[in-house]
Amino acid sequence: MKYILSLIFMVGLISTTLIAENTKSVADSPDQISQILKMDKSLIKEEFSSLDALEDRIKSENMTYVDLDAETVRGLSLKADVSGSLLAIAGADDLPLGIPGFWWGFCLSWVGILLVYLLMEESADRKEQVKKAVIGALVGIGVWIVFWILFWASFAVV
Amino acid sequence: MNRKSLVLYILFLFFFLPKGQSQDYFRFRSDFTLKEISSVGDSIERRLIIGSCTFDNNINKLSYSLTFPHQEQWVIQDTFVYTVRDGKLIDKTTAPYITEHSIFKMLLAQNLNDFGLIKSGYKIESVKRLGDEVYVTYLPPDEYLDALGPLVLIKEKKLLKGVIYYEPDGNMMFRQQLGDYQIIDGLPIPSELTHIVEKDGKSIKRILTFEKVIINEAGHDELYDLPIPELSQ
Repeated sequence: MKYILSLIFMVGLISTTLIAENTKSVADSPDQISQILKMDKSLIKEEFSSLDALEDRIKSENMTYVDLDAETVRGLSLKADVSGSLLAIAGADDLPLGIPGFWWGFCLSWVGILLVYLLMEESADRKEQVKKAVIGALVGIGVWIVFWILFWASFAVV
Repeated sequence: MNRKSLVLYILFLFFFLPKGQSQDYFRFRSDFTLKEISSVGDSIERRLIIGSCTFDNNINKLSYSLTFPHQEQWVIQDTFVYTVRDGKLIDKTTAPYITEHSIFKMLLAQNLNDFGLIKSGYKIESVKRLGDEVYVTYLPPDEYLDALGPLVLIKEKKLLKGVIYYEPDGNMMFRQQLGDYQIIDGLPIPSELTHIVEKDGKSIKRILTFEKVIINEAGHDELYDLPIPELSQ
């Protein structure tokens, strides 16, 4: 009995330690962060110099992408697809096929909930979208039940 | 100051000061330039986007009027992205919602001390000082500790100067620096945001600059709620 109690105590102690380890911050110290950010500033200034020059030229000559010569486009590996960048600064999250969780649940019931869960990466947003999918599924079932009640009621009246 | 003036002064403070402190910022308009360098291994792509943007938090609608690379408008609302060129809708695609992580929402929330992190379940782990800068480390809610890492906000004189986000394994995945602040209608707005994401050998670096910023513009509703033409066949 004493042996079992000791074992339970040890297991408890180890799991508590593991949980404590898991919640321990992995953030760097202010000194380290400050150094990294200073380095970023100087590196970025250098890396973006060609785009800075292009920006000045485009603004002064009022140009669009088609006005640029092929050599400039190739030399800078300049791309004209802007969708990803514009969505990124909009802070748009990646939903499965861009469809909100509610509609996945509403249309596909439990399959929709499962798809939202599997297609999204583990994040706080996934939990939110799965919740919406569950609500969507319940609403969908409710609509379905009401539809059938009305359908059979219409026969009863006739 | 006589007693009547004093009472009126206190009443004035009581009625107007709380409203001033809790001013609701909901509209943002600005000229902007976005420069981006993305790389995977040796492959590099550069992008330059120039134009103006409007964002209305009440209708959650974001519109870009671009002059480069192409003269066109992009409107993001609900779950759709509309691309309009020469007054015609040329593309309509599904898009994710504009979330709280949007730069525009973040800028309008500058008056909030913690940018809504506490409301999202984050908790403060530590507050450290380095010179004039204050480093506040937040930990995600307990149930997400395996999926989300800590977030560090750097503030200087109450202005947000940096945001660092770590993955749970300690990899510094995202870092953003905000600089050249100007106070517009009582709201501090950074003129330049530098943003770096590094993950799995891929890296994206962006510099976003704002000029001619207008906050809470009254009127010009058509700029914030751009009408979308019917999709041309």
